[in-house]
Amino acid sequence: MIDRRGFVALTFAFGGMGTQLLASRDTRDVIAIGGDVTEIIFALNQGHRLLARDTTSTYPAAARDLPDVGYMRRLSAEGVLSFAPSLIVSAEGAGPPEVIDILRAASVEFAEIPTGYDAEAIAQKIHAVGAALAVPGKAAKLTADTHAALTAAVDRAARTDAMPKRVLFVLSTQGGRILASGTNTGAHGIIQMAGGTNAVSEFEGYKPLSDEAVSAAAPDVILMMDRSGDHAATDEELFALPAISSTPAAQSGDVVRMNGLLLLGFGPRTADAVTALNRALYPT
Amino acid sequence: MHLWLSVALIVVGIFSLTVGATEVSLGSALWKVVQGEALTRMEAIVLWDIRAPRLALGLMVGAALAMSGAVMQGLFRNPLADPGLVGVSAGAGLGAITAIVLAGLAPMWLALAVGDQLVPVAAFLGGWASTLLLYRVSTRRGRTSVATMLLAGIALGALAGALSGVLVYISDDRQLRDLTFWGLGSLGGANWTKVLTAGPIIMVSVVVAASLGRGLNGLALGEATAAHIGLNVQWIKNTAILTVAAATGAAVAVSGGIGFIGIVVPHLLRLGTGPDHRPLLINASLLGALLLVLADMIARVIIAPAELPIGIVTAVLGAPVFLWILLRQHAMVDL
Amino acid sequence: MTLSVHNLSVRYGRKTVIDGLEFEARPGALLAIVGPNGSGKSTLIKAICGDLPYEGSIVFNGTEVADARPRDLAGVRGVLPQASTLAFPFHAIEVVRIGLSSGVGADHADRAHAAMARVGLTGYANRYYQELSGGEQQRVQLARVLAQVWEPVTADGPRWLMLDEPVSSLDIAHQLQIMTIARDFAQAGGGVVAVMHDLNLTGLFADHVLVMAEGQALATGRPVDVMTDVTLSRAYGCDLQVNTVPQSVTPFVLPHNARAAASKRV
Repeated sequence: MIDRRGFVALTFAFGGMGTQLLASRDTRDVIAIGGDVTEIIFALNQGHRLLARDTTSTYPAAARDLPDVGYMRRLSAEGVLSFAPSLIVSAEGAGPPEVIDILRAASVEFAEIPTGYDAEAIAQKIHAVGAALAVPGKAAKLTADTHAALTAAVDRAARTDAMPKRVLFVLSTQGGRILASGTNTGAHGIIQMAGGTNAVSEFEGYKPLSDEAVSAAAPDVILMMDRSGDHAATDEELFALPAISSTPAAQSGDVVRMNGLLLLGFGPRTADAVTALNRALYPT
Repeated sequence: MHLWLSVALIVVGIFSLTVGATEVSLGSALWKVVQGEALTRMEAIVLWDIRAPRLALGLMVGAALAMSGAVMQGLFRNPLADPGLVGVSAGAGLGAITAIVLAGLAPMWLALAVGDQLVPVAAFLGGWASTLLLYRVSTRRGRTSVATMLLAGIALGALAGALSGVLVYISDDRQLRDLTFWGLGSLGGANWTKVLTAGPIIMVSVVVAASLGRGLNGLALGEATAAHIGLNVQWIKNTAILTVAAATGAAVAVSGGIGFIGIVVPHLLRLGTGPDHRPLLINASLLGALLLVLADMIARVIIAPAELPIGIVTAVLGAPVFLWILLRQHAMVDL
Repeated sequence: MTLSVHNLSVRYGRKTVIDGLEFEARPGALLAIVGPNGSGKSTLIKAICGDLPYEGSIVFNGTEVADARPRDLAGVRGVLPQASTLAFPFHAIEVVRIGLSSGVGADHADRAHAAMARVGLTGYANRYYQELSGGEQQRVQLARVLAQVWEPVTADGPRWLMLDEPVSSLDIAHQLQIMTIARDFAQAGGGVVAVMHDLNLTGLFADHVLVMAEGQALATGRPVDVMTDVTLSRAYGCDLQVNTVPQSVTPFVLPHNARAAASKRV
């Protein structure tokens, strides 16, 4: 086991060198995994180097024209290899691990980009993607631009005069059960940045809430992703749920729906997301 | 029937080695080997590290699931029985979920000892533990009551489901997604380690189960009559339970939950060659292996370069076939 | 070479169903076990067949049942249950062949067909068991048992037929057919033990009768000696009157003042 870890570390070291050599040739040899990672790659003007992307990479529009290698946790070893990539830049958690092992054995460099839900995390992501693509200069500039825009957006949001609104992020309402976001989630991070308060802070991650817990959270606004499928409860359906119907949000009819990748991606567009969410929460 | 199935299995097996998202060709690779030329790295990895272990795993898991279904149906005298029914799969699933969620809490020596195999090993242990518990509950004075076992299996399944629910509640976002995908079943994580871990267990189980044909035929007349005609009923039940636990535990451990093979394959064979378990058990292993490799080929190529979880393919193909069989057979099947 | 039961007790939990029973059955004769519901006769035949744990001893041709391997017992006796269900759609002939699974008599390929013919089911071989009538199913089961113990006497001694209410669900013609086959088996030197519900069939076919009541033997002996007004009335707890078929010693049984009893029930 220890030997294997050592081997992996070595692979990383040598792989990093190889990547720099390859990058200078400026050919298509990269696969991007994770919507935020793909966004950053395009923001670094490196989209032309992409061979393929994963299912969650839906922005910008050019990304959607690339072949889809499937969901990031369910990659197909042969599917990925069929593009003969030399580098995979991936958000945290790509798998399954057996497939990653095979890809590494096939000399595919694998750069894992750390995840996080604040300004610092975004900077680290961009830095890591820039390092993996061997464009540290561009990455430094993008980091600085993104950081400035985000700081400005957060400052503007913080200047809101009104009392901070309590926001409940609802991931899904399947079967009448409210799946809500606690702390240490993208939703928690973006709500804070946009000048709101996460109505649920008793737990970490996404958990189903009981009807009473929703009442007790007393959200002023419900925040959802504007996706189709099982997430697409209409406002009427949403407010008809017993859990929601007793909340201030139901009384005032306040629902905010935003694109999931924009809202939770924590990438170059997060400043836009903060501004958009802030305006939606506090309409003038 | 054995012969036809074996020939079909070999053909499908070879075909599955030639099919994939990359353009690596089995034929040209073999020609290179014959010529004494070296294979490219890509050819070696795709054929030897991806397609071959996947084929081996598909053959073994398919055989294990179909054989387990046929044995369970004989043991419980019920053509709808399945390892899923008596909690063996649920127990294996609970083991896997426990491993996924609590992996961070495992002591260092354990993590070092099993490493990446933590989830499969836990699934295997879960399947075994649930079978042993089930057996304890339903055996009195050396006699196993099938009715009690069926009820205990339902209770065990519910318990495993509830515990899994608790674990899902305390799991974080990323673990939750792992759990969802694990539950769908896949051969996508195939490698030689898995083949060598599960292979011997499954092969021994399948061979031992093949010897149960006479005994399960006797059990079809009822346990009392089976004993009256000279069969050692307790030995048959012990052997059946242990082989199913071993084969199912190993299969679930390496591939997650793959449904319908265990029910549909024995049913199809009974339509063709009748209920006699002597040919049925061998044919079920062959047809199960054949169908799972076919299903995996579909899973691999239908949305390439991505792939479907194979559990979805078997459910989509298996559920309608199963309903059709029920409609055709309702007069013949004595439930 | 007998079946001897000595000081036999069988318990279900704390309840004693058979309490210190003694009797002996000899080959060449049909022994009927009669008695009211709950008297322990079904439990007795289950214990003899090795289905239940027991205290005391049950010895078949010199072997204690509890110590015998299933296969050895199967070579000595066949068992016809009251009713049988079948889990899968086997053909009638397959059911008979399964009776030969453990190897007893399996060397005779055509024995299953001969057994089917013996119970009058020639031509039924490839019919599905589940599609047969109750009477036909019971005859298939009898064919299965006969195939298992085909020769009533072998070099190792007599063989035995254990019949648990073999004709309860059958019409009178099939009752007579099956009882005749059982009696022929006994007359050829085999032993037959049958739990019987119908006292008149018992009178017609039994060589010996064991009358049970409350887990004990109330009387044993020839039908003409055992089937008396006093014994049967005591065993069944109602007034019974035993008569004899004219010009024979065959007893037949009617309730005392049958018409009055019948009208009282209405």
